[in-house]
This record gives sequence, C-alpha cells and structure tokens, in this order.
Amino acid sequence: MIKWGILPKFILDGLFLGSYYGLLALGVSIIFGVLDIGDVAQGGLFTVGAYLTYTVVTDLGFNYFLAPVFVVPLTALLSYFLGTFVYRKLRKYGIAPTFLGAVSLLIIVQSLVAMLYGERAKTVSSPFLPRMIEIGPASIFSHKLFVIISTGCLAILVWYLLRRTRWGKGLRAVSQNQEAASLVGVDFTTTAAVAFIVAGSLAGLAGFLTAPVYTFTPFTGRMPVLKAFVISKISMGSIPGVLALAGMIGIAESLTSAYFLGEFSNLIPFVLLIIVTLIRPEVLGPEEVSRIRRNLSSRIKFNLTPLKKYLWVAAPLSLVLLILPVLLNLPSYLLHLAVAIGTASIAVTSLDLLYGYVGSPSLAQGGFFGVGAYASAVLTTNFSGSVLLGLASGIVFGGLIGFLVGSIGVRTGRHWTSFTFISTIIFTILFTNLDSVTGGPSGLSGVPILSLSFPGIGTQGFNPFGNKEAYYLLVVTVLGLVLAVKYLALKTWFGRSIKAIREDEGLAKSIGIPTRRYKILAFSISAGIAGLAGSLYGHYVAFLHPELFNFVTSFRFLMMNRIGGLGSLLGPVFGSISLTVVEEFTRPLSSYLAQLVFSGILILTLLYFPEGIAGILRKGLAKVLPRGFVETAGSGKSGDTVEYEADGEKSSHE
Amino acid sequence: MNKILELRGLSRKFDGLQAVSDVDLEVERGTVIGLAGPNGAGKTTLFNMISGFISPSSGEVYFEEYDITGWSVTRRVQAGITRTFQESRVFPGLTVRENVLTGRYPARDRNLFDSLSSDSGGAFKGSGSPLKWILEVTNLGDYGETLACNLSYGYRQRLELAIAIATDPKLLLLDEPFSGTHASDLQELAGLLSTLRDAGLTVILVEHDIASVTNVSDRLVYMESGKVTIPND
Repeated sequence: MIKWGILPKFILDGLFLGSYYGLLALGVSIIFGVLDIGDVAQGGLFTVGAYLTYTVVTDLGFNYFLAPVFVVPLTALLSYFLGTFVYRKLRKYGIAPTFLGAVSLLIIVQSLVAMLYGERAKTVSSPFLPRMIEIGPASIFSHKLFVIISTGCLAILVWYLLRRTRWGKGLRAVSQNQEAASLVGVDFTTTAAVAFIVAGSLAGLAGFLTAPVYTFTPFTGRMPVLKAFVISKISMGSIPGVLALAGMIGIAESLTSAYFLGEFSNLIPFVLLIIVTLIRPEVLGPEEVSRIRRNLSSRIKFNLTPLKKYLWVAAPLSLVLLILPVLLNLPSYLLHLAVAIGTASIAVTSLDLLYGYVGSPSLAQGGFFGVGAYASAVLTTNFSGSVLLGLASGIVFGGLIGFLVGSIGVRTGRHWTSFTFISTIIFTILFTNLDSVTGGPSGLSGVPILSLSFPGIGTQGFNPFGNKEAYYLLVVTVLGLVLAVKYLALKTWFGRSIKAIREDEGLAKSIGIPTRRYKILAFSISAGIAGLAGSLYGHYVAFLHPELFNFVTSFRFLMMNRIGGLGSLLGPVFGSISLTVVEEFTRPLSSYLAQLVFSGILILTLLYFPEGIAGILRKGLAKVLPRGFVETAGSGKSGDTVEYEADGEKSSHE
Repeated sequence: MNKILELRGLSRKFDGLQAVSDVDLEVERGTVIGLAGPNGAGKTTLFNMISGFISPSSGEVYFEEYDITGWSVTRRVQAGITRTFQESRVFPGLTVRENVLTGRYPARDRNLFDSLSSDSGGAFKGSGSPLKWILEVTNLGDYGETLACNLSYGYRQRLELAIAIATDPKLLLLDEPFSGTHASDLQELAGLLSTLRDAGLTVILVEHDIASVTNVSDRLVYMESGKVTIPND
C-alpha cells in the first residue's frame, strides 16, 4: 500500500539527488555553453573529489571540512588540463571525435582511480551529528540536508560569477555568439579556461559533498554525470533551468523508486531526453554551421584488376590459414583467444559499417551485442538448441531493435554519437531490470549448447568447453560470411549511397539520396550483425550478465575499429587482435590497465593517427606498389586534409 | 506544358531582413535563364527556395503544374530539380567516376540520355554509357580514377556540374558556375549548356558577371534587394 506519510521524506531525498546532479550539470552546462562539448569526463573528476576526500579524512585523519582545500585545486586543475590539451585539439575534428575523447578521458580517470585505490567500495563518515534530522513531518540524513544547503550556496556563487564578474560576462557572451564576443575583446582561450576551472571545481565539490552519503567505487561517477549531461542538454544553458530540472528529476527518481519502479527510476532522465529530442531535436545542440577538418589520408584507391587472377590462389590459401589452428591442435587457450577475437571482429565489422562507411560512430553496439546474446539464449532455451535458431534470433532481434533505435536516432543529426551513448545506458538499465527475461544483475546461466543437424550425417555439437575447435570453426565461418556480405553490399547502391553520406551528407541529400532512410537501414543492418556476434559470444561464455554489454563494451568495439582502421574489411580484425592481445598481456598487472592504455591510444589515434593500423598498412602498400596501381589522397593541391561546412544545407543569406 | 517553373509571390524573411520579396517568375521549358544581381540581392535564397533547402515565408513554387512548395529536397530532385552550390561541393574521398556514379541515383529510372543521343544529333551518337558521355562532355575523361580531393578548383567545378547532370534533371539550378573560370573554359561551358538546353533541359544560372551570363542566356532576370526588377531582356 502506498504510504503517503513518508512522502515529504522522499521529496527531501529527491532534492538531495537533484542537488548533486545539479552541481554536475552546472559545470557541464557551462562547458557546453562555451565550447559545445559534452564533457562527461567531469564524472571522473566527481570520482576524484570523492576519493580525495576519502584520503584526506580517512587516511590522513583531517577534518572533513578541510577536504575542499585539497579537492578543489586538484579537480579544477585537472579539468583545465583536459580542456586545454585534449579538447581544444579534438574540437577541430567535429563533435563525434570530441565526444569520444571525453568518454576516453572518463574511462582513463576512472581506471587510474581504480588502479590507485582498488575497486572495493569506500566510505567516508559524515561529520554531522545527530545523523538524522526532523523537519516537520519528514526526516532526512543531516548530511543530505547539508548537501542541499551547500548546493544552494554554490548555485548563488555561480550565479554571482556569471552575472557580476568580468569572466562570467565573458562566458555568457561566448555562449551566445563566439565571433561577436571576440570582436568585443573577450579572449576565448581565457574564457574556456575559466569554464573548465569552474566546472572542475563544481564536480570535485559534488564528489566531496556526496562522499559520506553513499559507499562509492571508481565507477560511481558514471551515472550522475550522464544524468547531468541529459539535464544540461534539456535545459539548454539556462542556469535556473538546470537547477530546476535537476531538482525535478531528483524528486521524480526518488518518488518512483520508492513507490513504483525500483531501479527503473534510473531510466527517467534518459527517457525524458529521448522524448524531448523527438519533439524538439535542437535540444541536443545548435544547428549552426561549423567547420570540420577531416583527414583523408586513408583514402587510397587500389586499382588491383591486374592482380585479380591471383585470387584463385589467395582464396584457398586463406582458407587453409584459417583452419590451421585446428589442424595444428593448438592449445585450447589460444583457441579461446581466437574465438574472442573472432566474435569481436564480427561486432566491430558491424560498427565499421556505421563509423567507417556512413561516417557516424555509434556507441550502441554493445547494447545490440547484448540483445543478440539474450535473445538467442532465451529462444534456444525454450525451443531448440539449433545453431540456426540462435544466430537467426541474434540477427532478427538485433535488427528490429536497431531499426527502432535508429529511427529515433536519425533525428538527432550531428549529435548522433551522444544519442547512441545514451541508448547504451538505457540498454544497460533495461538488461539489469528486466529480471524475468535476462536474469537481472545476478545474470543468466545455463545458456544452451548449440548444435547443427546435418540430415543424414549426424549432429555436430558446439560445446565451448569440450570442443573449442568446433566453436572456433563456427566463429570463423560466420566471420567470413559477414565479411563477404559486407564486401558485396558495399558494391551496391546501398554502399555507394552510404559512402556519399560519409563524404558530405548535405551534398548527398542535394542530389536526391534519401539520407535518413539509408542511415536507418545501415543502423539496422549493423545492429543485426552486432546481435549475431552477441549470440555467438553468449553461447560461448554460457553466462550472461548486464555488465558484459554496457558502454565499456561499446567503447572497446569503437577502439578496435578506430585503431584497426575505419572503412576497411580487415581493419576490424586488426583492431580486435591488437586489443585482445594487449588485454591478455596487461591482465596480470591490473584489469584496468588495458582500459587505461587503450583509452589513451584512442585519443592519440583521434588526434594523430586517424587512419589506424589498416590505414598505415595501406599507406605502406601504396608506397611499395608502382604508381599505376594506386591513387592516394594528398597528391593534389589540398593535401590530405579537407575542411568544410558541417551542415551545408544552410547556405549563406544572399 | 511549356511552362516548367512558376514562382508566385515568393518571399523570405530572416529575422527582420527581407531577403526575397514577392517574386513572380515564369520559366519556359528548354531555356537558359540568367539570374544576375549584386551581392545580397537574394539570388541564392531564391535558389534555396526553388530547390527546397529553405521554405518560403509566403508564396508558392510550381513545377510542371505541381505545387511543390512543401516538398522535401530529395523529392524535388527525384522530380527533376537539381542545384549546385557556390562552393563547388563534391565528394572528396571518392574518385571522379564514383562521384558521378553517385549522382546517378535519382536517374536510375529515367532516361534523359536516350533523348540526348537522338534529339541533338551528331555529338553523342554511339557514346555508350551516360557516365562516359558525362565525363567526356565535362572534360573529365582522363581523371576517372582521380580522387576528387586531388582535383584543382577548375576541375572540381566541372565535377560538380557533372554530378548535377548525372541526376538527369529537367531543371538545373547553377549557382555561379563560371566563377573563377578562364575565358577558354567559359566557351566550353557555354557550349555545354547550349547542348543541354537543346536537348530539353531548362537551366537557371546565378552569376555576378553580367557579361558571361548574357552570352549564354536566352533571357536575363535581374534581382536587387530581394526583388526582381527587369523580368525581360
């Protein structure tokens, strides 16, 4: 029964939630306003704030209220460095690379914290006694009240900063119109620096304030910063709007989790964003034109027709190479790695369709990977354990849900990447909460062993424990088929159109290509293939858990794609191999080291090696082959970098 | 059905700036119209409204008797209206051949090139595929496998035109096709436009330089401050 008597308590709790979401959202908003960057790395600074508070109070024994003296300078400085040295450079490449950089930085900071402090939860004791306070009919933890009040004070401070100081006016001027602001002498660099410093301080303080309330782990900052991200998007830069919305979301979460939906309450901000995006797509960002710089050095055309006769030798040869591991009776550990690489390659190939060919990176592949895994597990448990059913269910469910998500996603235009990121979060929340289907946080075990019946000959089982060879062959066969399908599909009108979209979407539209339709189609196909990979993976690990399909998984795929090389057949494979190998080597040292290293490599790749491994190999090959075979970008006047208007439909006013 | 395009009372206001005001225009099929005027006269905005990139504040656009005012860009291209841009946009990472092939998307079902080969006699008989013909006629034949980003500005302009022709348009809107072109190339381009016109294509071109426009056009339309001032030559 609904106990209305406790309502005021939950409202107060909601205000507390809203407070620290609001603090984070204020910082994120300020950065959005000035640089149009979704700085999710602030979540890492939140975590740093909490952990530093822990060190100061628990390890060093200082007074709790002394902690900000340590926290604020550190997080402010970190934020400043991230902004100046990473974001400033990435910005020139567009929204997607910058957002990916932000996610990388978040992962890097979290990994560092995990490596320094370990992953066991920590607590800080609150200095306030008594622990609970009665306010009229409600009672609340006194520390939570402290947080609410502090947030109020900080908000007033920020308001004062923005309205009354020179820097604040600069911030507001720049967020209105960067060019005009510079014309009246507002120094953009200084203003950006101020934005990062303020945001970093707020994030660190939010960590300091909340540390005594919950136990925290290195990953505790993730959810709040995403909610802050959503809040700042919807309120579109208005400070009172940010705080009001944060408060409302906090209260909504508190009430729903108490009275109705439990953990599903986490979905609220994200579903709200999706709804708002459908009504007013501009919420995700301004539509104004900005120049992007794109590096075309990997655009190399090989004219290999004379070599086609060697195909008859190459094809059987590669087949033999692939079967070799089985013939040589390799140790099962290597076969295990090969299966992992194989399933990852399939998933990354699906991503490459979007990132390398349509040109828009997607962080949702981990979610579709999961959809395929769960769908296949459930269907094969309830019906037959046939390989065909398993793989088909992965493709079908992945594709259908991909179609749904893609149809919403195309409306987000240039902010597609952040949209896919949010979709993954929603997937994770759904996987965790739909216990009846997915087994919830405790996971789904007993995933059936697949088998394939050959009429008249017999049944081949694919037991991942007893018969790794068979599983390896299954994975390799599917990978080969997927690559073949990709190659052929790209030669059709579908392939041509999506390449055109990658090169210049506005131009593609202007010559009659229905870009939305193709984007949705590409997204659905890619989701289906990711689902296929997921079903192969699911039956292999035999135990499914929501954390296997979260945004870190999506990010791993993205790293593999980017590092391996975009827009190539074998790039995904190279990327999978390199990442898996590095993970295996660094695992004994620390499970977080690989994530750290790869996030760092990703940022370097975004900035300096956009062509990835495959691109580097192709460049090498291009140098070696005689000129007639090859056409490289860069031999012309504009070199290998192109700058152009990002959204060229909006022409000048003439 | 000789009137291919009609604009009625077309206007567009941007936050207080009246970019185009109350334009009435009728265009006959198979003519080349030159649209001239100073910077800021509203020429590109007019193009944007005809091609669907911007919707008018008031007024209608009729194409072949259909009211296309609410139609999307893609639908208009499918119907036969193609435009080019001031900045010579092409697909930088694709080869010249791939660029033109991409332009063939809307034309897959229609066939201007059959009529081109038969109606205008001489020039295109037996030229095989439309792709080959387009590359020849825009002088890009030798550059089929060159990546578009490696082309010089002049060749990029030709490529842009080639892509536009590839869409098999009935009405071609060219935004400053002659800018930065040498005198000799001007002749060629003018010749190409005449050929297309003779085959039944209608062309509206925007240019600053009245001289280059006058030679090529059958009719001159002058715009100033958003209004059409001299509707006839």
